[in-house]
Amino acid sequence: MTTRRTGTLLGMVAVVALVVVACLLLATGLGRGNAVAASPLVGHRAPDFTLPALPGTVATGSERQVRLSALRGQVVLVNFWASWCTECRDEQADLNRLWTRYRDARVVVVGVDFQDAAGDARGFVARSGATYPVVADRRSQTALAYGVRGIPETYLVAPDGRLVDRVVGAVDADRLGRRIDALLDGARS
Amino acid sequence: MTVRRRTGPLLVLLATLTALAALAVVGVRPGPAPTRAAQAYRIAAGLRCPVCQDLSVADSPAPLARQMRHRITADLAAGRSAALIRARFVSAYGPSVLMSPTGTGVGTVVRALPVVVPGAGLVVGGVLLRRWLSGRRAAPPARAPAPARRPVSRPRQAAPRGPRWRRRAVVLAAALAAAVGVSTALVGAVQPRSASSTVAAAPGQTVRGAPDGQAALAAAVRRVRRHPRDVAAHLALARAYASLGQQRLAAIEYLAVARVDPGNAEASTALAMMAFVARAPAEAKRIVDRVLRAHPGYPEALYTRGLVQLMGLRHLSAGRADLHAYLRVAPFGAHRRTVETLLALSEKGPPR
Repeated sequence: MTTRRTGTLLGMVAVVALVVVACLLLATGLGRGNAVAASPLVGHRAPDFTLPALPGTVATGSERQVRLSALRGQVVLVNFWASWCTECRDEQADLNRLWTRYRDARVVVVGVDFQDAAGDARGFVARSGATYPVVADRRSQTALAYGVRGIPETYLVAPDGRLVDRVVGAVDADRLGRRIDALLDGARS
Repeated sequence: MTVRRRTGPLLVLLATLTALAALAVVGVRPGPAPTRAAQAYRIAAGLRCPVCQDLSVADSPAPLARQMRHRITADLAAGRSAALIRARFVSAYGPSVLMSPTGTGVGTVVRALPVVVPGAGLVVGGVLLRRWLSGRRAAPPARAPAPARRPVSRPRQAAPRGPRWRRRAVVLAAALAAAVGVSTALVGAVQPRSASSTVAAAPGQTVRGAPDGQAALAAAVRRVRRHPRDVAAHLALARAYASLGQQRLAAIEYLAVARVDPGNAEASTALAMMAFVARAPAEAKRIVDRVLRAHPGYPEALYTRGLVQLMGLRHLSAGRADLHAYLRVAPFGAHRRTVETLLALSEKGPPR
């Protein structure tokens, strides 16, 4: 009788454990969507970089390089991309929209060209109509410092220099706009 | 006999001590210093290529892995230790970049699994074996047919096992299905809405799937109707009107924002600019002064006040100061070219 009861108890424990494990696996596994993804850097100071402007891009004007720490006090959107990346082409309209909307509200979009040929990158920028600063990460040191795994990947940096979000895949202007609004509200209050 | 009995263990002890001493000498003696390439290889072999399926950085042909190898070599050349190099990769990519789990957090669980799982298996197996053996012992002998002593009710052990196990399988399947359902619901509740679902919900600007300005305007109007006190909705509608050149309607929406949120910087600055265009520079300055008191350094407001002072009120030095401040706070701002031109012109006198 006792053996039967122990067996039933063991069976129940096994079923409960299985359900809990399945729940955890599904919740964490399915949660990795194409949106905001976890990064060990989130909440910490964003790695600083000084990168040369991509030659021939219009946005840089007199600025021949972009230094992240010089943009302290502004919300910075660091977007890693390459000319051969299809999703980067898809997200371009959204990035342009964000730039147009926020460029005079203390927000800077910085495009970081990564693992790309300079000529192809220039062609991409010319076709895409991007007017924000675009820099070249020729040795991928900045991408490695940010933990970039694939492109496009976009990092949102708060005015105090903290990295607050990592977006894997194409950005969505509306969703990211809401995050930027929240950061700007926080910075103003 | 006694001597032999004593020397035997002594000899074994001596041999063991000698072996241990020899091992210690071999282990402690430093080998030849590894070359930098060997060091780099060892570090790379301990790191997982972030874009590959279970390949180390040392073995992966991916460009990212190649650049990680370059960085390892450069860091070693700069005198950084292997631990520091590893830590830098972990800080960017997380502990999953290490080929072997760490001894902290989830890593502890992973390390414990090879011990825990077989242990649990042994326990379960032991319990099952015990039950099986006790069942066999309790079962009636196979060669003891006793038709006359047939039991009235069938003993439990002899009950057909099929239905019971089937019932358990059904319960298990139902539990798993429930888990799937609950998890999906939880994930759905936690995850932000997908891009396609935000088209109707937040159509402030031209949105994905609705690039046309008119469509964006229609969506913004719908949003304002649904949420008449939502500042973001009114701002989106004002921007939609402004982008279509309907300044008067845009002004109405900015006024609506100012009613709901009197301190809103964007709406107030836009209204100040409208006042300036309508040849009311003093009113424009009054509005934008209030904005800058609440949000010093707001680029659009600095630009607007600079214009108002320089071109409307002819306050040359104050206007120039605002425009210079704009250039400082908006290094990539939309009005940089205009501001630079205005500043160049103002050196010769107030621009007309």
